Amino acid sequence: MSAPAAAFSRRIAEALQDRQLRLALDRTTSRFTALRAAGLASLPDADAVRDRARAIRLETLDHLDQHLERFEAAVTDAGGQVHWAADAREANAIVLQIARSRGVFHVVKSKSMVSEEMGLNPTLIDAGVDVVESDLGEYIIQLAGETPSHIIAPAVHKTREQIGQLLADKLGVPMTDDPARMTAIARSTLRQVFLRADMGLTGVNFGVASTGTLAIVTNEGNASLGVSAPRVHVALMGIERVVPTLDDLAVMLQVLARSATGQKLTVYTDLITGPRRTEPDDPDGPDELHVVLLDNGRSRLVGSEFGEALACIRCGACLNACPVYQQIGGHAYGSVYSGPIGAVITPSLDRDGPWHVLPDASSLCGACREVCPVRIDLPRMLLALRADAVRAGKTGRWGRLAFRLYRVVATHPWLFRRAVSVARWATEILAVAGWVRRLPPPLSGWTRFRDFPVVASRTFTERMRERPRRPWRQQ
Amino acid sequence: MSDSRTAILGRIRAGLAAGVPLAAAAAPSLPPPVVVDRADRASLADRFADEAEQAGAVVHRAGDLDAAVEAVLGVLATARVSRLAAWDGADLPVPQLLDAVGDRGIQVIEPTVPSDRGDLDRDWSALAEADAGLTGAAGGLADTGTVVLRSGPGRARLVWLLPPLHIVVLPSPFLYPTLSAFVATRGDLVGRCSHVALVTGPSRTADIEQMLTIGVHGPKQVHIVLVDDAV
Repeated sequence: MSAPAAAFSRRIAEALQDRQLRLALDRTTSRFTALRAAGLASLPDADAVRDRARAIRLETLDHLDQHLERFEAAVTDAGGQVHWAADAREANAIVLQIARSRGVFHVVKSKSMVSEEMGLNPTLIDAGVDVVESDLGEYIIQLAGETPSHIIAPAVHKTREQIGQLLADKLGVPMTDDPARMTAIARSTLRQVFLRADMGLTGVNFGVASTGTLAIVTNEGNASLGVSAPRVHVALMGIERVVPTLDDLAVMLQVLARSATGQKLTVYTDLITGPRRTEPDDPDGPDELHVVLLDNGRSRLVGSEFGEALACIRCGACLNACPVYQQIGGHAYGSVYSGPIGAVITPSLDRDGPWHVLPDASSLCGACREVCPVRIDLPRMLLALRADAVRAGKTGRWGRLAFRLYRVVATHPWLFRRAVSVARWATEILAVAGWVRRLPPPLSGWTRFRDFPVVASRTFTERMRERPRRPWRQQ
Repeated sequence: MSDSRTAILGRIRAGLAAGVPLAAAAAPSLPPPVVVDRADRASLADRFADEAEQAGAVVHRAGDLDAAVEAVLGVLATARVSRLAAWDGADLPVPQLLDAVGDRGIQVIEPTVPSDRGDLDRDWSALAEADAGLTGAAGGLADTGTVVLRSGPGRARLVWLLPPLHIVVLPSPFLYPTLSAFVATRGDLVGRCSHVALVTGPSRTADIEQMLTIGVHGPKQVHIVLVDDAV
């Protein structure tokens, strides 16, 4: 086993033994799945809308350069500034430079996966800038010193009892396991943060090329507050998140919330076009709006066999639907993005990282493709990434040897028939009541968690051979 | 960093030139936005009220402007509001509303705009202490129960965000069947205003074990006064 594979196996084993995690995942992923189904059922002609949403994303990606240029021009026209960042380091430097030159000491942040990708919080904190997460789940995670384990429900791996204890320990409030009480505590603590902040940091769900509008969705209203009270707004956006027009945005918004939480629309959908207007003056809103466009490997996917992954709208539906994610949660992946989409974009965005093992964490059942609002063919890309890993020699030596052996056997019919007879003989000896409980090494990995069936007494080819030829002539 | 701009766009163009288009097959064309007869206001209003209540808002139907004033005063009285943050009277769909509120002895807080074109002082403490916020909607989306709010000189965003109770007046002629229909008709608002908010029910979270909790950062209560007769 390669080192990344061993590390991944260890993380999976730890996750499977974590009873609290299993309980939390069990309570939440099944609920998400049911809510999503109900949400899409509320959409007349949901399949047609999904087809249209997919077409919008793919057509946009086919002309991504032009849409980005139009988006940049429109943001600038509206009074905003656009910054291009080739990688995480450059994006962090841009945000830090804005903070320093504007005398920013307090930053209030709403949920942004791009910022996780950048590792922005440690960068700002090291530079003496105070950053507070305002999404309730992210706030919990920040207090715990952890990272999010789900795209839209970052604290999904924690039980309410664990969260109550965390708030008691960190904030000195009485222990409670009542979500309403815990939410009230967070509201009053974070209210002061919003009123004091110099800068609001947000992600971007969609950037509209025709108007330069940023669409930012939250249920809590934290992004809305973060872009209304502080004097500077910095929005972090992956270069793939552009849509051509407001009409297209309206289509995407029809599927985003439904796929994520089952809501028809997120409670707050903020459409931000430039900073606050002057002459006459808006009484609130930021004086400056900065949009940081992050590449970080995305442009290399354009035109490749993984280009389709750029159509993702980060709803999290594939995570909830994935039988692997349901068992191990997000942290076991070890990457910023987890679940099926994480297993595709992590190794394709970061080709040199230890991520080639992530696509192995899939049964290729296709549930992810089934629920994806833009029908991304994730199983195809998971398979392609596995093939890439083999071609690049990243897989284990014994695995490669075993498949080489299998190829020889499978391409020589006489050898294959011999092998089947041997397997039948061996499994019959080892079996108890038709099932093999334990196979010898190196096959023991299979029987650690499941039984192995006895090979059939007659194979398909043998049975075909024994059938009378051309039976229809005998009638 | 124009170097990165050039490099990123260059890589995208190289990828597009070398690869196969993703949307190779003829893409299904967009079914045109559903154009419901907007004269059929009664059914739009019914649908809107139903969806908004499902999202957790409270809808008050008012037959005319006087009834709208009564509905707002009723909400203020029930919630024992003594300090009301409000938009400029000219930006509320019911002109006499702020006078009626003032007559009840309720203190009206209007966010200040610097008259000398200086910087905003950004002291939001008065707004943060308001018991309720009063705004007017530029649109209502019937299929989701959403109100459309827009920022502007007399229309502070924090009025719909900071107080624990938000009262929004929505004239029924501003109702649209869907977001697509709204964008097709009033999409210009998005470019004109710095902030257009689509608000669907009260602030909520389910970040703790997916258990629904109301009133995280935004208002705990949203009351929509739907005025049938207003222009």
